[in-house]
Amino acid sequence: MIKNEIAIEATGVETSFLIQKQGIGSIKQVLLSFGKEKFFERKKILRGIDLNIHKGECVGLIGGNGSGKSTLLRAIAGVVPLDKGKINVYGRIGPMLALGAGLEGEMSGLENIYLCCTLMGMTRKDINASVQNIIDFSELGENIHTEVKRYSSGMMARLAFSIVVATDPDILIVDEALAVGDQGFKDKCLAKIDEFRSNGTTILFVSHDFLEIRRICSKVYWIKNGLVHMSGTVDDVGEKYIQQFHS
Amino acid sequence: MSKINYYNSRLKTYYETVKVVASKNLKLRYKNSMFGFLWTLINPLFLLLIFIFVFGHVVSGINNYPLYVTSGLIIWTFFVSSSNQIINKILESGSILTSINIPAIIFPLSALISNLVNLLLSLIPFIGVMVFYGFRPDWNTLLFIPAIIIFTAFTFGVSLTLSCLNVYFRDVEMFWTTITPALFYATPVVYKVPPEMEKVMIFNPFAHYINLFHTILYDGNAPDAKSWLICIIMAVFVVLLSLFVYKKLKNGFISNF
Repeated sequence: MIKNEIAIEATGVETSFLIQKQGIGSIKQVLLSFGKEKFFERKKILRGIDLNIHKGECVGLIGGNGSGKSTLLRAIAGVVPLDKGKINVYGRIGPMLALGAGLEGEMSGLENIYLCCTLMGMTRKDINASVQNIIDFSELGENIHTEVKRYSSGMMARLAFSIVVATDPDILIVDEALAVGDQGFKDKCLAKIDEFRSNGTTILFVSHDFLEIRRICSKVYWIKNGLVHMSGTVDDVGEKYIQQFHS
Repeated sequence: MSKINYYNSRLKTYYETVKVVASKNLKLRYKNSMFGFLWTLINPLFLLLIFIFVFGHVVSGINNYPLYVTSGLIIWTFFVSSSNQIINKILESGSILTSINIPAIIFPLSALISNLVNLLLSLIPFIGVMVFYGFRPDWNTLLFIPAIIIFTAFTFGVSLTLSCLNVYFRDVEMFWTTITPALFYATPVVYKVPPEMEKVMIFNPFAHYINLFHTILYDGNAPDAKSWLICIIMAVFVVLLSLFVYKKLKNGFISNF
């Protein structure tokens, strides 16, 4: 394992969202504003992020609500387009970005396994080989044949995580999606993440639970207002981060 | 942007994904319904019966009116059901697109393919009806194949454009469901163009396609080169337009989900 190899490299990343202006003030307004820009406003989310994550590192992202953490993860996952800057990712990403994303409610857990694994690029052969492992890991048992719309959020989290894990990613990105599982599942996930870590998988982890971050991550980026406010070891950043709530 | 390696090469992943999503579409469509797949057939057949027995009395001057109507309705139904399905596809797939990095175009494409499968299956009873009314396939009937390919491209171009716009402006879907019946009546699907309307009808792109199919299936003739050319050019134009629109709008999709 070459410690110095870069897994994710972001320079000057800026993103924004187009917000549709709600409600039209008057007919006059509509007639006078015909360009796309007039109908939409740009709301800046990331204002210039620089990030360097090496292979095998376990990095946490912390920050208040709306600071841009999730958007940053999505930008890295390739799902949010960049206004400026560049992101280089070396390796396959396993994204756990939203609970139940990609899961089709009307289909069974098993059918969803095939659907999601294909969406993430697995070959049919690989899926067939991994299916039993996924079912076992999720501990869903017979429920795997039930429609996903009947699943509790915890069950969905189990299914989603088991699928992502099975795709054997080089880079695992987890965005607070573990929060819904029961304690047994949380422990299982954390154990799996530990396993990934020892196998040299890069991990990017967003959580509001600082204890979780402390347990898994070696390095932390603190995102505030779309910028990297501070980065460093868990202890350094952690101290300052906790402080801000107590001052 | 991100360089992500997949198990499969990128292209193969897209191919597999389209297959999987298309079959998901087909499975879902008929789940939970009693008649299931039969609806694809019942719907247009029903329409067909109304036109044959009701309009048959109103419209005059068309020999073997049922055959005329059938050959037009197969195509029109395909167009409307495809565009109706596709128009909402990108928006519908919002939750996937905000988590997994695959091109949005895969969803409209998969919907098109599942609709094509539907069309092919529905051809069986339709051909049955047509044969009943005197249709006898000959060599010219084979021209149906290139015709349907060209028309599918046209359909996809129109639908993809609408699908992209619908992500930004939800009215597009409503606009489309309002306008399609009007388009139906403005197109000679179940009637023949009266001479005084011929000059105007040239401007209706659908009229050209419907005429193409009527020529092949109803007249049993090969359409002339000019008709083919117009149909091909329109299809190419619309597809290129849709790809241009897609390219320009896709970066803003995620803002609108």
